[in-house]
Amino acid sequence: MNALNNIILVAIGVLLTITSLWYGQNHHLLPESAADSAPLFDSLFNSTITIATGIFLVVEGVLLYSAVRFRRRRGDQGDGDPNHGNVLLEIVWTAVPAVIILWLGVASLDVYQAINGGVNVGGHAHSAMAMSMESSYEAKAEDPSYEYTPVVVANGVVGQPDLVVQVQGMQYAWVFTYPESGLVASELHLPLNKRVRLDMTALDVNHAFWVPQFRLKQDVIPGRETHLEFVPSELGEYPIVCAELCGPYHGVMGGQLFVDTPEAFESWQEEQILAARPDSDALALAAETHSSSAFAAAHRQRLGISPSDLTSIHSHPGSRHSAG
Amino acid sequence: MQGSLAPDTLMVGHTQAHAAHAEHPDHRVFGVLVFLVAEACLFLGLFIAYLTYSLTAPVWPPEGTPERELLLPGINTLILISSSFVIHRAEPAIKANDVKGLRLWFALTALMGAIFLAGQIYEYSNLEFGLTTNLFASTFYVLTGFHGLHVAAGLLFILAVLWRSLKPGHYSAQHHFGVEAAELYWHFVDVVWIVLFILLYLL
Amino acid sequence: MTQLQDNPNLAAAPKASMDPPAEPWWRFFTFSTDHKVIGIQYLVTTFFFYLVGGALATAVRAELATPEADFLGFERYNGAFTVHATIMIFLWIVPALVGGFGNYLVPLMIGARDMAFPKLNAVAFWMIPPTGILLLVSLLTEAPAAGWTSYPPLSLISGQLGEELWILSILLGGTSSILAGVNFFVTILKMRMPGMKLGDMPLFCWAMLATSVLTLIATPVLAGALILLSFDLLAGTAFFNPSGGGDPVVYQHMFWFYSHPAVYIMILPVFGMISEILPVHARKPIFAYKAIAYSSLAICFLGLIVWAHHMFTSGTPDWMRVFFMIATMAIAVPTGIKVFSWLATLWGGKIRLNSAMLFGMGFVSMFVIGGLSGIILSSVPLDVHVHDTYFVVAHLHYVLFGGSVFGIYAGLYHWFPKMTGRMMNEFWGRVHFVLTFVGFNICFLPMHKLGLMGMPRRVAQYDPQFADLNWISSVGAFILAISTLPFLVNAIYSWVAGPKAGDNPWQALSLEWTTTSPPPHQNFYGDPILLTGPYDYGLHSKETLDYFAAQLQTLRELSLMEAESSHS
Ligand code: HEA
Ligand code: HEA
Ligand code: CUA
Ligand SMILES: [Cu+2]
Repeated sequence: MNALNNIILVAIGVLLTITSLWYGQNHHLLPESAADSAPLFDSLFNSTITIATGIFLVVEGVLLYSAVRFRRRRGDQGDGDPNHGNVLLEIVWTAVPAVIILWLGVASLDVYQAINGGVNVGGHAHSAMAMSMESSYEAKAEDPSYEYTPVVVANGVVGQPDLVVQVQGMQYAWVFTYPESGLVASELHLPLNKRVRLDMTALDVNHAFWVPQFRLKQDVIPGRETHLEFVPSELGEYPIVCAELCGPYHGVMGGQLFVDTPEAFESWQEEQILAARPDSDALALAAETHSSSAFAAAHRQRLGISPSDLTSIHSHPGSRHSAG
Repeated sequence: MQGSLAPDTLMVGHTQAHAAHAEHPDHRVFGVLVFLVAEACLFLGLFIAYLTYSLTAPVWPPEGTPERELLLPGINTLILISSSFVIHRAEPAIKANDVKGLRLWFALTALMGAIFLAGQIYEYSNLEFGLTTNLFASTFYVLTGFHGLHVAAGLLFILAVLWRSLKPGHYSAQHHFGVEAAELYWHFVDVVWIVLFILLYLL
Repeated sequence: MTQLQDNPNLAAAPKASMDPPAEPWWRFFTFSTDHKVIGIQYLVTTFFFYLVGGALATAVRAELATPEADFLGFERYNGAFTVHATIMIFLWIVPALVGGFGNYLVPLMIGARDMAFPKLNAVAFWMIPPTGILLLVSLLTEAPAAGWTSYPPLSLISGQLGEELWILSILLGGTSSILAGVNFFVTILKMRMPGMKLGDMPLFCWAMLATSVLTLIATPVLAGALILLSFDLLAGTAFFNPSGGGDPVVYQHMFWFYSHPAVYIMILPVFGMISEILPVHARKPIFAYKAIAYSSLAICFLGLIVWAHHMFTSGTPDWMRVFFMIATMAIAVPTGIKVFSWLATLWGGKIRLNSAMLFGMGFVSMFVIGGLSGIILSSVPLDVHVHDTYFVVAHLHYVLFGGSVFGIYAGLYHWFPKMTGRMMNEFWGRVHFVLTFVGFNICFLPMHKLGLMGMPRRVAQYDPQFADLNWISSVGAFILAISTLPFLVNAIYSWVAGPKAGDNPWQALSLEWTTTSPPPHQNFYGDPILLTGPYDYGLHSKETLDYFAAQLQTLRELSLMEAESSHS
């Protein structure tokens, strides 16, 4: 190892680091973010991509270098140097990944808690996580990209949502029920910067509620209630995607999510309730009991949005809700 | 064995190896054991599924499940367990070249197995719940039924050994793989039943 | 007895008289118990299914070339990708690796005459064709359309007959691989030649040992799940059907308890083959033999306790998500040990960039990408966004195609001379590699972005914003489809009329290369002898090796003479 080699190595190292850092920030792989927890996801994703890029470059670099530098020269029948082990090297390339993994594990835990902490899905590990939460808040306090309202307060008590919406997935439609007003809608309107909890269940088969701009996804499963809790942080219209295979028309099972100003949200509710007056109570009731009328109601609601695949819904066994 | 062998040692190695592969070691018993491990995992999977149901359900068995009386299954269990001891007598017998003894113990085991199966069928026909009555009923029938199939298979296995033992000299103190395999399998079926009985009747 | 006058030298191609009697073609269509015949039966059968599965994939990509569901239509699309995946996993990768390469190589590498239970071995193979037939028949009925994961309740209401055929097919295939698992476990532990300790085995055998353990523990649980699913499907029970008090998530746990280990069943043997191929063509000893051997066992163990990372969004409790996240990430360490050891093996070698080596190094480069995306998936908060999106599809193809399939191709090019006694054409081999490598990345790289941007998987119709990337991906798929043709032609032609290979065209040191190509029925003339360790490259002078070769030749002729005399 003469000086020149060292310089070259250092140079490569620096270049590698810079490239990884640059790509970690400029991968353009994510849609815009519209929930207060999304920036958390993005920063974790970016740092993971940074590390992954580094590892990728090292491995591919060594491969290409060997392929060129150590290619067998014409007519050379000899063997390479018979070195078959180096304890120090082996320790290094066991320890380094271990450390990276440890970091990624802890970081993921923090972010997961921050994003999901409010929803206690049966948390044995909960109090423990609440602890790690606290520490993480201090740590992140000064980092501008982390401004969000804590979901879990220090002692691990769940923060109360400002708005609860019941979500029902059924083959190829989402139905949203606003318990206070009893309003049943086929699009989800949410007020800006208010903590929302979705109580979700399915009528027939598994579905999954996904809003890419929120970086949030939760399976919606018949026979049990699952939850999502978040704070919409950007006005606008976002797609609701069904991410779990639920039948031939799984691909067209979409919906819209509107983040409105509180005022706009109120007025929308007013309109809907007026519009639905004639059979509003029927709908309200239908929404509670998973009866066939809820199904019918849902599709009456759907008529407005996309009649295109309504035909399809009736034209195949999937919509026998004897299934669920 | 790293390389630098002299030719003579090579030849030695050669002849030795010849001797080595003259008598073919028999790995079948070990094979049966390995296979039973896989079988065990199958039942283990079903047991854990059952436990998940029973532990997550608010009430288990779900209310409305008729009571099952323990007497007949208890007797059945005793018969099956003791049959394991009976079949165990067969091995020393054949090891002493006593084919008659082998036949006796295997016939006895077969009989007990048959009684067990009969008992099962009798119990099935007298239960107030059917396969689809509720989740407990389904797990009950599938687990016991699946085990019953294994008992039946073991029974056939034992009868096959009996049949072969009629051929003079088929089994001897040296060659009696069929006997050992049948016995191992029977013990396995027995152990599975014990767990089943505890899960389905006692818990 | 002309052999005695020959100059005995292994490196040189042996005289015709030394050639073993070539397998008569029809033996490959019989219930043969010769592990070499069975191995080739597996490889050929499964490659046919690969073509079928690939044809289905090509259809899937054709559908996805445009946003509208205008090629297959909604129902047929789901059937297509379901059967595509099922064929690729249960009729291509698993049987090709375990049944094909495992059968052919393990006994040769440990100096055994055959597997421990040859009849069982043949039975296991002959279960594969019916497995495939059942699956293909299901395509003709109302095809199984619930994905290869076949989650209830959906799988209970989409095409009863097709679904049941799918279940039976997998139960049969599963039984076959359990029998194979028993066979390998016993063979590797009990049938090694006198004097070969576990630590002297080629690393492929270590990998096969770990693989068979996974098969034996995990596969039965899948069988259990599918049996319960059949009851729900046919008998109206409600194990997984919430309407009757059942729980769909229990199925998910049982399914993934098998199907995650299954992914290591599909990669560990490839790890093993790569550990054989790289040293031979880099002319260097494998780097860190022990570490690689034990990391296989570590992966085997960890692989059994990570399954719920497929269920991060299934409403699993927090503690479970956390546990499975950490356990999953841990797998990066043993896998990393392998990857870095392979790199160190290449470093400072004298690398022959022939087809086998190209695919071998291609494997390392592509698998790492899949592995890294796997690490991203293993982080709960990240997975919550990308679960069930094309990011997962990208991951699984980078590990399964970039990993397993590249590895299988490497193995085919490497052992083809041993299996057939003939060399494959290098030029077309390289053409095949370039086409595959380019097509593969064009096809699957864009899927990462698609998933992250919001495209869910298993959809026949998608948002037009994704049209461009999907079109590119489809182009890649067609290149991939074409890429198989040079291989097919090359393989078939070389098998019939390729140049003779000789015993040891690569000057490799593991045992299978010390016998003829193809090896005789009992694998070795006289008894196998360990002259060198499997990876002693650069440790023996050419003279020593020629001397060993000469010794082997003499032994072979001796045993041939013995045979002659005993006959007359
Ligand atoms: C051959 C098959 C194979 C292999 C080997 C792997 C390997 C891995 N897989 Fe993959 N996986 C699949 C096949 C495979 N997978 C399939 C088919 C699916 C989809 C199933 C379906 O839903 O249809 C899937 C899905 C899947 C999921 C679920 C995604 C989802 O549905 O939401 C997850 C989540 O954790 C995951 C993780 C991993 C991890 C962590 C590894 C690790 O083993 C990877 C380890 C390797 C490396 C990390 C690279 C080399 C290491 C280094 C260079 C050291 C340095 C690296 C670091 C420090 C990070 N995989
Ligand atoms: C080893 C496993 C394996 C392999 C090799 C492949 C290979 C390919 N896969 Fe597959 N795939 C999976 C395993 C695999 N896949 C799994 C597990 C899934 C998940 C399924 C699910 O969600 O349930 C999946 C899903 C999947 C999808 C997502 C479907 C969806 O979610 O909607 C797509 C889409 O592009 C795809 C494409 C391809 C392509 C283009 C190839 C190409 O590599 C194929 C290349 C083509 C060929 C090799 C064929 C060439 C020959 C011909 C065309 C001529 C035909 C000749 C005869 C029939 C004799 N696969
Ligand atoms: Cu609902 Cu997919
Ligand atoms: Cu997995």
